[in-house]
Amino acid sequence: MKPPLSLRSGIPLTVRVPLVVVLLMVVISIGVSQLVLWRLVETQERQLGDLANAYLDGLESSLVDPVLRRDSWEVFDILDRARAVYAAVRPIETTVADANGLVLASSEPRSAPIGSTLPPSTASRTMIVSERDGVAIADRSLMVEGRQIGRINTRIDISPMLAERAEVTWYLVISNAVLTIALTALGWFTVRRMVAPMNVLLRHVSAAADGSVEPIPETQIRSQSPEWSRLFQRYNRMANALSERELLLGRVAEEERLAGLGKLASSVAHEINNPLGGILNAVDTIRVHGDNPKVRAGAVELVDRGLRGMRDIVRSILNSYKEDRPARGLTHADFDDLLTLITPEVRRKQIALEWTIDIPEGMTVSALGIRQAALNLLLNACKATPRGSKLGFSAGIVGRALELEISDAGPGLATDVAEILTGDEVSAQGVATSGLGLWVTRRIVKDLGGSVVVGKSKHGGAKLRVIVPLVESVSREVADVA
Amino acid sequence: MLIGSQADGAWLCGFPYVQHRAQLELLAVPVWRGQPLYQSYLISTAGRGATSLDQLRGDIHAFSDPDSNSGYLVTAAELARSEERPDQFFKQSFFTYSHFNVVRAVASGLAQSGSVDGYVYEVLKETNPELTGATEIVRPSEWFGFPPIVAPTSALAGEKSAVLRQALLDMHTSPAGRLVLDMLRLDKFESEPPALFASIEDNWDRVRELS
Repeated sequence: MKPPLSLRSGIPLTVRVPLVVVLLMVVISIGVSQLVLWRLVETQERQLGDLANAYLDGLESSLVDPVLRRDSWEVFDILDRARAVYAAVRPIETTVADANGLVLASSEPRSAPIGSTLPPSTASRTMIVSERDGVAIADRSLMVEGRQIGRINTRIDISPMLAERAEVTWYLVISNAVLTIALTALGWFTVRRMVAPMNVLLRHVSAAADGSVEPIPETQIRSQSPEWSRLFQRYNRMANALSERELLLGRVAEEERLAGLGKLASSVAHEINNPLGGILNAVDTIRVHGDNPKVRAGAVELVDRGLRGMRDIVRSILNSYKEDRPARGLTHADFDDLLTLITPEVRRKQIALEWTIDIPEGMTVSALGIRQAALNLLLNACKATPRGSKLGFSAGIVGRALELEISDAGPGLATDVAEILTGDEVSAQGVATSGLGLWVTRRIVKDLGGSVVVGKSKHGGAKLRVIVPLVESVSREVADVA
Repeated sequence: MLIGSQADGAWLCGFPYVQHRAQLELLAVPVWRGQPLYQSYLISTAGRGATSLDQLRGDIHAFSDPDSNSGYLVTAAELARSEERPDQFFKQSFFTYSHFNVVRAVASGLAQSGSVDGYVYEVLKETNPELTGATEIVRPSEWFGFPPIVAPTSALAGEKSAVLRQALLDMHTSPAGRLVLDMLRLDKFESEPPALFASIEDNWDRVRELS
């Protein structure tokens, strides 16, 4: 039966293989020990049976006459002398009874006196081995011409045999234990050595998954076997390719940002052009009718409004694209800047913008990151929204997070494009389809520890919810984003 | 063998000498501990504490030999005085055909008591104290004539009997003879009259009367 996956996957290979070795060795040891002991017992009992038979054969031939004569002394004398002759058999007590089971004599007369009754032999076998008492009991009928004239019953000391058996058992246990420990250690060292390169590879792959792609040092590659060495070299090629890709993506993102800035500048130039024309007209008016205080005041007011509008636009652009400013928290002014930046595009496409900001001042979340992410998503939404349709933007606090919601009336997001915003991995095809804007947005949100949820908007298009947790201090978060 | 003239002399128990006195000539009698006499011992397993034959009733009893005075006749005669026979008095009795084996039988527990030659028992106490240590003397009997050296009467006229008698009687005077006597734990040999064995004959008569 397979162990549960969690158990199997939770135990390292360096432990699992020695454990398997231990289990195998224990099973093999028990099996071999049982076989050896079974053979030993069989051999010992066969030898014991042979010895007992030789002993009883010798007694039988001597005892027939005295048993027939019921000569207790001669029976005793034979048993007593046999004790020395058959010392190797180690008879503890041998008793001879007549045909009625009455004792004629015993080598131990005090335990089996003359005339006492010898218990009948109940076993079908001629010899019974009692390991608990350390004795073997053999029984032999004395027969003369097919008639039973008596019985010989002997108890043989088998304690040396049992001691030898116990000694063999201990030898087996100790030798098997030593062998098991040695093989386990060998298995552990071998597996540890085998999986050491795998651990190196695992460390580097794990580090790469966390964003730190480091090649395996050459010294480590050279110390490995040819197979591992080739694998490490291939990993290094892959790591280098990943690093280059990251670098390339960073450059492309920067270029994308600058391209966006160019587009925005073009749009803003158009926006500035109108107040600029008004300002020039007002300057001409002042030059011609400057003596008239009323006309002059009206013209100055016009110049002032035009210049303020231009100042707001310039400031918003500076706030969005100037990188070397100090870190700060998100404020209402940032949303005002966002509104300023997208207003030209909104006006151009005659979009009805629903703008709702419900946040406190000075939130502990990176202003730069949120501005860039929100601007990207709003520009994308403007692009997707048909002329004259609705576009919604709201910002609020949910729990301990800032939540932005952008809903448009466009065709919605394709799955691979949506995955750019929501998934961990980005397909090259998705990036090619949507441009780098969404990919940059995902990176910003991910760096801020947040997430993006894609849904369907009430206006018929896509609804994007950006959730970014508030942090204790914005400066560190901003540093991370940078 | 003596009666059949197959032997010129033998060391014989007093009982068979009495039984065949007409065919046997008394050559010499051993002197043991200063007198030509010995006793029969009733023995039992050590620690039993019996002091009389009556206390041995119902025992399994070991006799030495049916032709032995000390190993059978003395005990049988004592029972005959009470008009009892060994097979009635004892639960079971058997012959071991040796005084040494009587001591073995009692020491091992095969027999609870036995009738044994006092001289043999005393020598065994010196040579095999472990064996006799497992037994104890219930009581020694009266004194009887020590088992004599005898020759068949048919050989009386012969030179052999005279030479043998003289050799026995002079044994204690030579170093070699002294060595033999020391080994046998005897003092010497001397001439004794057949009357020395009269008490054995009385016992035999008593046993015969009962049977």
